[in-house]
Amino acid sequence: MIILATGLTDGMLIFLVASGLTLVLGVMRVVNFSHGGFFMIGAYLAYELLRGHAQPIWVFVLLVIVASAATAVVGLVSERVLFRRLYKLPEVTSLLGTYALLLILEGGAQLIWGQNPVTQAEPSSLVHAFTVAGAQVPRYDILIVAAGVLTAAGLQVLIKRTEFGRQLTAVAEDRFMAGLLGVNVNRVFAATFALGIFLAGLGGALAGPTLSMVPDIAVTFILQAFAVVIIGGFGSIGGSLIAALALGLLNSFLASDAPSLADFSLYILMAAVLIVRPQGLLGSRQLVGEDL
Amino acid sequence: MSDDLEVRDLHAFYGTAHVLFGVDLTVPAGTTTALLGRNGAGKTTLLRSIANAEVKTSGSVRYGPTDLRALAPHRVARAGVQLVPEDRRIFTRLTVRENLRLATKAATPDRPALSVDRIVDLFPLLGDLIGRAGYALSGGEQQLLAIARAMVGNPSLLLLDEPSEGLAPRIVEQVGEVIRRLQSEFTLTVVLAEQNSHFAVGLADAVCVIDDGRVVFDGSAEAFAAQDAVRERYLQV
Ligand SMILES: Nc1ncnc2c1ncn2[C@@H]1O[C@H](COP(=O)(O)OP(=O)(O)OP(=O)(O)O)[C@@H](O)[C@H]1O
Ligand SMILES: [Mg+2]
Repeated sequence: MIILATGLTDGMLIFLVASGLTLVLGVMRVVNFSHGGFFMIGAYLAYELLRGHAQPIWVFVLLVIVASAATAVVGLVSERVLFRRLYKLPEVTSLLGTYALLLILEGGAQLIWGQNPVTQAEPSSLVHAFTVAGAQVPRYDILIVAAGVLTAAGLQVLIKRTEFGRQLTAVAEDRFMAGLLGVNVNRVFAATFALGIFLAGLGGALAGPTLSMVPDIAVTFILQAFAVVIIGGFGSIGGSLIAALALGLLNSFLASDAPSLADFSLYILMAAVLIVRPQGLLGSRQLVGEDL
Repeated sequence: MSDDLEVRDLHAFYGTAHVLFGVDLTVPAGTTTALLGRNGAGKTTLLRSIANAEVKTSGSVRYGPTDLRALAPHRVARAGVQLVPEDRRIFTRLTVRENLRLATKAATPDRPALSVDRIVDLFPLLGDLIGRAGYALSGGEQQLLAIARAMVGNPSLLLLDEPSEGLAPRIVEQVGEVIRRLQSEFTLTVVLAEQNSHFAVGLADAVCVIDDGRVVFDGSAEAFAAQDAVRERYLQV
């Protein structure tokens, strides 16, 4: 039971990070190495707002959302200054550009918050564990799982049911045609980027209480998030969700039953899926074949 | 309220490849010009250059008072210009209705979007397909949807790139009827690029033939009919 809970919680955090990554990749075709940097910024901003203390849950939730929104604003600025110039450049250049931004974000965090770890307390009503089927499950895990479920459902509605979602889908498939039909492609890019970075910030802000915060957490989930994007299929939110949960659970089972293999769970899952479906779980072959 | 299209000394480039060489073309408001030329003559490039899309140009492209070369793609659309590309480019992951609704962004307050009902009235075939995904359409259905989608924004200048290409004769006829109906119900200025000169000339007031990126004939449809030499030299008849 505890294995299940830990796996789900980890999986949801990975999903939050991966969903923003896959959105930006699917719509703009930019592999954003700096995504983890925004995860870290989200964690630190939430820490600043919450002052590290345990807060009532509604204060916690509200400030986590404010921190994520503030992270998205930083993201928007970097979209204007950096990413907008990358869309037209060759992949190698854009990889280097986003990597450079990651280093800048990490360096900035070191200047502001230093190298010493800081910790964020959980919300006051969620500090204790509760008992399910004889196992102790941290209550805070429930908040993370709920946030993940809400995010997945919200993204689903946004993409399938709204005008913005229609534009996002169209731009992802064929930005040239979307532009010819009157869609302001740059605006869709900026909004998608802001959304993706909001999700990175949310992941960081929620992960805060489970981590000892140092600027290096920028790379904590990012490798797994990239793996999840590949396993789930580029640009597929649903695929990311399934892959993230599978990875979280596999991590957690291996950690308890086969610790020597735990470090390899990422590669095991990736190899298993990609051998059967090179385009990822829910990815379309077409997208992979294109100029990614 | 409708405007002439005036192309002057237009050069077009893909990277370092120089493709159009000083093209001049005038399409008076409300008329249709057939743009003919064999494979690789530069028809697609000319239409793209007019819409300022995916090609570098020099020279001038004016639509009424508007300099189209200065506008971003979505602004070209909002200036009332719609390009229906030769590969149709239907959004495969959107339904027919979603493809149509996306295009309302091209409308403006003085050129209000056509409703989905109005579009279905003009393209009855699409009525039965309205919930179908783009990837599940046949070539002919895609072509009709591509033209319908361009009409949603209520354009005044329609650039059609080989709408008959790859379609069965019966479908080509349907597409022709649709174009004729649009010409009669809307004040449309049309440039119709085609290799199928018979199809295009039947819908056009004027004909422009290009070859190797240069205009080699420009005149009325009647004058073109009398020009056997042009037809034999520059078109596959
Ligand atoms: N993206 C591109 N990069 C480089 N050259 C190109 C590109 N697209 C077209 N060309 C070249 O430009 C010239 C004109 O091509 P264009 O597609 O405009 O001709 P077309 O008249 O539309 O031909 P078709 O009847 O085959 O559609 C051709 O020589 C073609 O090879
Ligand atoms: Mg062509």
